[in-house]
Amino acid sequence: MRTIIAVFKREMQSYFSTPIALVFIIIFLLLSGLFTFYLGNFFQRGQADLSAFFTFHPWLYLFLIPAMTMRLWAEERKSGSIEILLTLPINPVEAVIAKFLAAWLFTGFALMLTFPLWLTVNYLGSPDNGVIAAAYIGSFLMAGGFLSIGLCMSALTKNQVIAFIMTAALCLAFVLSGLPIVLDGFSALLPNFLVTTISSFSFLSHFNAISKGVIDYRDLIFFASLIAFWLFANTILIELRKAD
Amino acid sequence: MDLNTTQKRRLFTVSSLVCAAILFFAINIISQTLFFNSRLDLTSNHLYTLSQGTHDILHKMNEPVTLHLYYSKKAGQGLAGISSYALRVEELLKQYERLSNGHIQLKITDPQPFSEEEDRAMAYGLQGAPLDDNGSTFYFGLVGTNSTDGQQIIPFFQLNRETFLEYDVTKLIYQLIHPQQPTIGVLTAFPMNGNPANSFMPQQRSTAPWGVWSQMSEFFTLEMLPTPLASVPKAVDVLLVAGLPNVDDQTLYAIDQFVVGGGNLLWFVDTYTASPYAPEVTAANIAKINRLLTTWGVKLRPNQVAADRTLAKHVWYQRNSRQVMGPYPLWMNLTPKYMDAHDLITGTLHTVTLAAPGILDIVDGAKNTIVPLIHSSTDAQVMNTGTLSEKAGDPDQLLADYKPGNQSLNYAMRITGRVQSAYKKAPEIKTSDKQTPQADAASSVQEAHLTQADKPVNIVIVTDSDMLQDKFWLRVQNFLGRPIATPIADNGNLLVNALDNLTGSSALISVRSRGEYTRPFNKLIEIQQQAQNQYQKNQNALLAKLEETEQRLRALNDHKIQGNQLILSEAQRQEIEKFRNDQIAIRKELRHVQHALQEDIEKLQNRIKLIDIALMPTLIGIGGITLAGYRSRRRRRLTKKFKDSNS
Repeated sequence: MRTIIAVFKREMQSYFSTPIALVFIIIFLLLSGLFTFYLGNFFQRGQADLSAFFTFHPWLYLFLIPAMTMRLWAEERKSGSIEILLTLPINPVEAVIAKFLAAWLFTGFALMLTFPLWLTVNYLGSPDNGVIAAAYIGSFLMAGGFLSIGLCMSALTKNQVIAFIMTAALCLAFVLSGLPIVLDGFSALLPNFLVTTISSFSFLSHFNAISKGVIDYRDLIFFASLIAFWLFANTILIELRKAD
Repeated sequence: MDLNTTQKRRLFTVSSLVCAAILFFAINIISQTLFFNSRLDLTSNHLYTLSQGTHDILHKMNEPVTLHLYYSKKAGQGLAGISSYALRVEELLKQYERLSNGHIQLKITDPQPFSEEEDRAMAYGLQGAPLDDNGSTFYFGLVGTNSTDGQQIIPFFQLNRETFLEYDVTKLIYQLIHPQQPTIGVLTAFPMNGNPANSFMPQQRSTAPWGVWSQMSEFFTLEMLPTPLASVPKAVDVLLVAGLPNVDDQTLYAIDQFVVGGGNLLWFVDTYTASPYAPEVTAANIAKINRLLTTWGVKLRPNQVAADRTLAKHVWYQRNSRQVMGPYPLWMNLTPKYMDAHDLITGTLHTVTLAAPGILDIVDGAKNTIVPLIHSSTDAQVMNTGTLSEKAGDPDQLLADYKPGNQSLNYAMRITGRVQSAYKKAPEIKTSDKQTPQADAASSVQEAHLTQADKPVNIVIVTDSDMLQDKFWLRVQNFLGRPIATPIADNGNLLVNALDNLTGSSALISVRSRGEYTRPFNKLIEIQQQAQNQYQKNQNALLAKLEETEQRLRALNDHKIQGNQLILSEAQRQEIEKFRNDQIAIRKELRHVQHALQEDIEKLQNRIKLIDIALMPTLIGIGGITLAGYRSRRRRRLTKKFKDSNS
């Protein structure tokens, strides 16, 4: 546990010491703001809610999070610091968890910085704050999903660009999982109930459901199991590379 | 085959990944079935939790009901949003099944194209959406049947009615359980039942029943009563009066005796109506109505209506041949703040829209219990009905002349008590006014005049009958050729809640207002209003000047024509020139004033955009730069120190 905290602290410090994290936050805030007002028609809708804001989160995460995660393992491997990290008395699992938690909390921090919008909508009208709170939770969980995939892809290759592209493609598949573009391929090969399950892996459908104000335990289990799977895969890959 | 360590490790990696993936799938498949109904409902109206009313209704069931869900599942998987909504519907119905202690049986069918099941679905009246040219149709509806011949359907689960899902399903079950409905006697001049036989209005557009009539028919047996009315039929449980066609003594006496006989009454009175159906409101008629009202303890102010600037509904209207949207004080949206939160009728309502409502006062020395159900804001204005029809078409004028009374006015009251009759004996009825011959026989066996009710009765008076029209509370859209009405206000709910309550049944009231309407930007509306008030005076002054100028210009031109002059004198030409310039200047100022009205809103919007989009990033950027600057300075200092210490 202590090792996790130590690695976690190191990760968090590195976020705040590089301009990468700063740029990520600034771009995320700017884009989410711009999308809300100009693409989401916030004022034209005339409704005091933040759906114009949350609807763009999956797409913002789709290209911002891979950009953030691509360096997390690949950089360490390139610079060689990964050897140092793994020769320390740390379990690879702990290293993976620590990196993930740091990335997740950092994203959560960026998400929190959008609070002016929440204040604004309360000033302009009387929104359903329970729904907004649920949507924030859903967005945070979804970000965790994206991050776990990105972290794993980053461990797969030294080349950050490849990590970015693979993460983005995989995340896109999960986002669109309920649609024929993803399902048709599977429905030709797999039995029906598996195809239904795959369609239930859609980030969009879980996020949209949570954004309505209801957090179904199945949504929580989905994100938790997804994150657990990718972190596990990540650990396995690190172990494998460790030997090389 | 002997594997070396690398291969072994690779095999181990791959196999453990495959196992993990299988586990991931398994967990999610299991959770789909296991965590069937556990959710955290964070919405402020608990839209996703079943209401107490539904629980009560299901718990008290003692008759079997079959619910048959027809859902084209395969086709639904490709449609955005439908499959998740269908899942919600399915789970809701399963929840109902569980709560009904075995009285509800749920069947789910995926009707295949051209199958028997599809035929049955069509026979029930379910609405299928055509998917493609092959003739395959998509079904997503519910059929409910009870042990007798009762049958109720939801033809198609509309996505935009999602917030009313619980209400629609509970109502369907309720109607199956209670096929015998209380009888409501209806006295009205309005063609609520869509009766096309209205010879007074040949140009009437639609003969479809009003939304309120359809909604009432779902729960009650409605009986249109004729006027003049000798007496209310025995079968009538509750009397509904809305826009009395004839305010004659016989009918009023019948109403009086019905109430004193123990019947409950819901009466929509009116002191001003722009509706073409309602009879003319005269002072004499109001006085006759007041005879009854004052006996019960309230009085309708004759010749007065209320306007409310703060609660004004925003409407589109013409201003100088432009379409604008602005507040219309004669039509108002009353929110829970202005309604009695504890009364069963109004406690669950969100918005009630009234049109030029009258004003009720409590009479001094009233013996019955009188509770105001709906009242105005303190910004309300009392207006005289005499001059109203001229002003009513000009929202700008209404706002310009607006003078708030700083008093709260009452629009609806509930009267409870052992009411007394307003008559000492049955009034003398002129033979020509008597009811039709059949009724004459009945009236000859005259009932004894009742003077006071034996037990407490409930009378609800609402001072506006126009609110029952569709245009004030329904938005009708076309879905595959069928009109689907979505409520935008609770007028219908107010009516049905009141009838429910007066007939003694209140189970559905808590379910009824589960839907969510709109949450508008109140602040923006408020600012627009304030700006409107402020600029209204300017605009009126300018309009007056413009009018004056134009008149003088016209007079000058006429004078020129009359004087048979072909050439203008220099002085006249100068005058005309001056007036034309004035006219241009005034018009320019008017446009400026109208623009200024929009500017406030736009300024606020732009300020908000700036704060929400740019503020945090800028602060972060500044913070980051200063932090970086601080760090680099510290690094420089440290290296300098290091260098110094080394040298």
